[in-house]
Formats: sequence, C-alpha cells, structure tokens
Amino acid sequence: MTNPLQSCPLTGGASLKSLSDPRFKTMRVSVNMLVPLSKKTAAAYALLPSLVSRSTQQYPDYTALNRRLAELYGASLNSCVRKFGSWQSIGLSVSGIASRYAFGGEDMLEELSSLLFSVLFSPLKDGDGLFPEEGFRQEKRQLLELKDAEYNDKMTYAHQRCEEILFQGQQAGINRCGSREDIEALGREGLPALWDGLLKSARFEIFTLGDCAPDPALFQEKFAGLGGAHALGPVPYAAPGQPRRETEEQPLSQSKLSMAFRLDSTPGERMLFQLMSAVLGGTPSSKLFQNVREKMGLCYYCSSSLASASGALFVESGVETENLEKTEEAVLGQLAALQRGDVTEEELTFAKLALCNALHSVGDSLGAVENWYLSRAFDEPSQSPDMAAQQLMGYTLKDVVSAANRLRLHTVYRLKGSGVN
Amino acid sequence: MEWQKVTGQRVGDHYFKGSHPTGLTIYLYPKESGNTSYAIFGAKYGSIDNCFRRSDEPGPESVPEGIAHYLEHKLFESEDGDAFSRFAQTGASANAYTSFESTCYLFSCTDRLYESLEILLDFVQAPYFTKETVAKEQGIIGQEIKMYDDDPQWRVMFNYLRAMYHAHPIRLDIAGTVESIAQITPEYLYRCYNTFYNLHNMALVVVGRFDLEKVTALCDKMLKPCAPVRVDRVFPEEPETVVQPQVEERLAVALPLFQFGFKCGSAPRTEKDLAAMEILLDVLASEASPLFRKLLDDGLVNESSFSYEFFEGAGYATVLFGGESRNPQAVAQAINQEVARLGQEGIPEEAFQRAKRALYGENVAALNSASSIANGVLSLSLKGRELFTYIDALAAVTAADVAQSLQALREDRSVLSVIGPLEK
Repeated sequence: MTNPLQSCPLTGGASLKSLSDPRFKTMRVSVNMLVPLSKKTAAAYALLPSLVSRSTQQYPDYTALNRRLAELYGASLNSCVRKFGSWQSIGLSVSGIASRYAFGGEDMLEELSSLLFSVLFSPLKDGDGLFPEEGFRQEKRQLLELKDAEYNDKMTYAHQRCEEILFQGQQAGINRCGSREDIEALGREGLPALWDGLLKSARFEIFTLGDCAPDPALFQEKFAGLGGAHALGPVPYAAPGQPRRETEEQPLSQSKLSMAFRLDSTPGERMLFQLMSAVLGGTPSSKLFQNVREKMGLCYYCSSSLASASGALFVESGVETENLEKTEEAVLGQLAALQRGDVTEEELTFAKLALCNALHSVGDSLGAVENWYLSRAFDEPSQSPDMAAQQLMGYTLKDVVSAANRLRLHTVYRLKGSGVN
Repeated sequence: MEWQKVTGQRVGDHYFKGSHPTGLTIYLYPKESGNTSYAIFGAKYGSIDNCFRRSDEPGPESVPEGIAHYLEHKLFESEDGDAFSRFAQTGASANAYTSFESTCYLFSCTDRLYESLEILLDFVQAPYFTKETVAKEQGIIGQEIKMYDDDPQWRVMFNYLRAMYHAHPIRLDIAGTVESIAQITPEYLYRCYNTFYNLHNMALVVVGRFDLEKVTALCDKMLKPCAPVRVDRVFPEEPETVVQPQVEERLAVALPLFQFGFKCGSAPRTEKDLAAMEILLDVLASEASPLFRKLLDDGLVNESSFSYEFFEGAGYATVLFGGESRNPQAVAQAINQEVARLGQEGIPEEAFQRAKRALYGENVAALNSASSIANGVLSLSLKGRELFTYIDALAAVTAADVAQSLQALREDRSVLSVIGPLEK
C-alpha cells in the first residue's frame, strides 16, 4: 500500500499535494502551472521556466546557481513544458537528497524550497526590469534546438506529426512549445509581464514528495493571491469523418506508421480505456505484440498508448517501407477482432495484472507519483493508483469490447523511408 | 549456502552476497519499504564476445556478430510457449537486454515474487531453438537494426567507436548486421548458450521485499549444476592509437550531433580508478564548470543534450562527451583547451570538493530505485566490482588521484564523430 497523499488547497487556483514518506532517500518539490494552450502565448510560456531558472537575485549567474546545486549534494533544478490535451503545463522542480544524508547538516527542504521560491518569485532581471539579454538569447536558442532535436528523433517526429494532423486547427493541435516561427518572433520586452501574468492566472498544482514534511502555512503565504481557478478536462469528443491520411518521405532505412483514434469516452472511464489499450497493444501479451510482431514478424515494436486528456489512442510501429500497408491492415485487423469480441478471458486477465503491477509501482518513484496526480487533475483528481487498480479489476470482457467499439480512426500518418545511400 | 552481509557505511543500506553450490553468485538487497521487487539474472556475455576460449577446450573459436543479442531474443521461447506469457500470469513486467559485455533477463513485480523468480530461473536455463523459430526472428531483429540505423544518437556513437578502435569488437554493432544475423543457426545459438550461460559465468540480483530463506530454497530447487568451465575473452591486438581523428556521416537531421572523446589505456580498473575519473569529469564538464559555461555562452551546446561519460570495460576505455551542436569542431577544441588548462593549473580544490559532494548525492539518490540498484549491482558484479566499495571510493579519492586521471585525456588519441544534416 502506498502512503496517502495529503491535498491542501492554498488559494482558489492553487493546491499543495504532499506525500511525506521517509522510505525515500530523496525529496522533490515542484510547481506545475496549467494554462489553456494558446498560439499567442505557447512559445513564451515554454521559454519562461528555463529563463527564470537560469539565475536569481541571490545567485545572479548561471554558474553560481549550478555551483550551489552541486554543493547541495548534486541537487537538481529543472524546468519542463508538457501538454495535456488542450492544456500547457509549465513546470519547475527541485530535487535532492534527504536531510539525514546531508553530512554538512543542511535542512534540505529549507534549502531546496528557498531555491525554488527564488526562481519563481525573484528571478534575475536587469536595470530595465527585463530578463538579462544574454540569458534570453541562450534560452531562445536552446528552445529552437529542442525543436530540431524532435525532428532528429524519428519516432518522436512521427508521433508529433500525427498529433498535429489529429487536432489540426484546434487548441489541442498547438505544439507544447509553440511553433518555430512563434519562438523566433519572441522578444525580451513582454516576458516579465507574461511571467507575472502566468503566476496570477495559471492553475497551480504544487507537490512536495519524499522524505520531507513541509509547512503548508509557508506555501499558503508564498502563493497568496496567485493562481486562477480553471476547470480542467479532456478534449471533447467529435466524431471523425473519413480518416485523414498523410505520407511524408525522408531518406530513412525504416518507415514509421502512426495512427490516431478518437475515443468517445467520459473522464470516469479512463481506466476502462487504459485496459482496452493494454489488451490491444500495451503489453507483450497484447494482440498487436503477439500478432503483428510475433506471428507476422513485421516489426520490432507495434504498440498502443492512451492519451486520456486528448481523448485519443495512438498506435505506432516501425516497419519496412514495403510493409506499410500490410502493417496498417494488420493493426486494423486486430482492432476489428477486439471489437467483435474475439478476445479471451485470459487476455483480459493478463492486461489487468500488468496494469495493476504498474499502478502498484507508482508509489515507489517520486516522479511517477507526481505524474500520476498531475494527470489525474484532468479526470479524477482524488483517485489514487490503488483505487484505479481496484476499479480496473471490476471491468469485464463485455466492457472492454464495448470500449473498443467506441474508437474511431481519425489519422494515419506515414513517414516513408526512401532508403539511405 | 552461506550469506555474507555487506553494509554500505555511508548510505546505511546492506545486501547479502552468496556463492551458490552451482557456481552462481547471488546478491539479495532488501528494500522492505517499497512495493516493487526487481530481479535480474545476467550472463557475462555481450556483443564483444564473438571470439572466446573455453578452459576445457584447446583453441579460440569465432562466431557471427550479433549472436549474444539474437540469443537473448530467442531464449524467451520454449517448446510450450514464450516466457512473456508465463510472466503475464503473475503480472510481472519482464524484459531483457544485451549490452557490450552482458546479457540480462529481468522482471519487476509488486506481487507473487517467488512465482516470477521461478519463471526467470527456469526459462533462462531452458534453451529451445529450432530452425523455424530462429528464422522467424530475422524479420523482427532486422527491424530493430533498421530502427537503430535511423537513430542519429546510435550512429554517432558507433561511428565514434569505429574511428577509435582498429580491431577490438567494441566497434561492432550490438545487434550485428542484417547480413551477419542471416548466418545465425540453432547450432551457433546452442554452442554460445552452452559456453556462456554457465552459472559460474552469471549472477543473480534480487532487490525488494523477500524472505532470504525462501529465495535460497527456490535457488536450490531451480539452479542446475554446471561444470566449472571458465570462458576467456579473446581480443585481437588493439593499438593505442586511434583509426582516424574525425568521422562524419550525413542523415536526415536538423541539428548536428557529435561525440568527442579520448581513447584511454585498457588496463583493468578498480572502483577507486572509476571514482577518480567520475570526479574529474564532474570538475571538467558539469553544469557548474567553467567549460560548460563557455560552451553554453558560445552557443555551442545545449543543456538538454550535452553529456559526458567514462565508458570502459574489457579491453576498452574512453572518456566521451556528446550532444547536439552547430559547431562540433569548436566543442572539441574547447574541451582540449580546458584539459590542457587543468593540466597546467591543477585541479581546483573547491571544484574537487564540490564534485565529490555532487557525486555522493547522486549515488544516494540512485538507491531509491529497486531497478537502479539491481542493474547497478549486477553490472558491477560482472566486472568484479562492488556497489558500496565504489561509493566509499568516491569519498577516499584525493585531488592527486584526479590529476592523475587527467593524464589519460590525450589530444593525439582523440576522436570527433559528427552526424550532419543532408545536403540540400
């Protein structure tokens, strides 16, 4: 059993979730700011967390700040930008060892949370009240290079293209970091006001996890007057028409197939669709692994994954170019089999056991605990992994088959490898 | 069998180490408070082992490239089904991997540990290869090879190793090539299995919630006696020089990738040697270092991709730096200059102490995770090393040890490998 997570509302738009658990040798404090994705702000919001975590008034230099982190036993200060359906999540986190391992006697929670607060509330600014020019230039370059890195990784690239086509022209189709053009157009001037606006308007999901016991009153004081109340939820379902198809060619050895389905589901059914995805292609005993890989030998990987906040399911594989059509047919064939009930009790049990194993492991990793509860903010905020496991064990074959019948193919994206010289 | 309790004084954890009568070395690392248990069963047999000599036979013998990895795929199959289906019944999450020096089979579970452990010990000791099942895997592994062919990070690394090593098999792809795997037969697989999957050449690590007596009883029941055969790795002679200082390939990338580093001597290393090199690399290139700051300010690297590592093993060792850069040559030049500067000016005491603290903290943090402990203990064990000895060595290393490690970073033994974008 995992320890219960304590949830404490700080303001109308901010909540603190704490798991105080001495079995961990580390602690993690993180602040996640959730805002609706918008073409106007996505690029700036993606840049800001790395800009503010570069230097603070107390450590007014990149190297000075990193030296302090090294002195704090290799603590880490990270920023990240994620996307949940139509929402952008801007995160800042700090992690380090528990105080009992700090041979210098430091109060690690005090040290780490002060660093995080200084990044959030007193990032370094120049005499004009702007983020320093040099840091801005470097962080903007790095954000553009992140875009290039996503192009370099063909699995990531194919997935992103598929998702873009799936939500073309919609809020959920905006890239988590905005477009390259939007990043290139960013100037320094408006950024401090955008940061202050983000602090005031975002929905805050704050976590303190691991071997630490925070004082909620301190967080209450720090976040007083901040955060905006947003009701979070998944992308609403719209029945797709004819599947959208797009093929792009690149000089590659292997072709990538990325298929997106929309789900006609409600937030309370997330575990049901998770289970259906596991039966279809989420584990080595799934239909896609056993048939498309093992029996047909078409690929090394062919798997399905649920993006619950997007109301979508993706199936992805890497295959010989000449086998693209055959693989697509095989995937649709396996889905059709599931939809007509060609699935055994054993397949269902195997999927349930695999998911329960994963759910019961969540409590062993601070990062996994945070990911779990942050994702749950979009459907069932108070559902623990143990509760989810209990829920999924109650589903029957009939439930899973019925869920499979609520999948609709929306997009087929093919990155066609034209071979390499 | 007798268990020796090994305690890490600095971290407070302990594990039990024992030598089973069958020859298998076993490590049991209790982690009572977590939900997850993790077991890993590995052989000292990786992609570099394609020429070997058994202690009970006269001459060395060569086998096709990629055979250790192929064997890993096929060992999951038995006459009456595959091991994945058996693990599916317990709910454990199973997997396997082949590296340059080892092949490992593993599972993690939150329930029914002993049943899953029995499956693990059983299937790894029960090979079943036929012409048909071996042929079937060609397509799957062929696609795995092609997936890596398109992976610029993989390519930049292997181009680097090929530019650095003249003859050592570290230069060969772990999975082999589409051509080399076409030569693999059931006979080759049995031959390699019977040579390397000898329990004297293997180790088992279990981390999590277990009863020592029950694990011992299960090992007694499942482990099969093995003749005490030793396998020696046979490597061709490797010059100290590199093959070529630079290598470049062009792929469908938007931003170039590089791997730059130094060929180091191949003499065996202790935990203390490793710790000294880790501290040196932290002093030299961590985010707190002057070098990293210069690379960042000059727009030459980015935080999300820049990395460094001391990559070493049987007959090979290299210090390498990698990442994405618009100007890899300038990165290499800056690293060479910083190495020269540290050589002249010495290792700054403040940076040395900071690096020790940072590495201590990172090692403590790694002990949160059952998988990280199990993989760490196994990998060290197959190289004759111990986890807590390494952590203790980090505290014992002196600035003089670190300065000594710097000698291994010679510009005339360096290689720069670059993956650039295709010309339009």
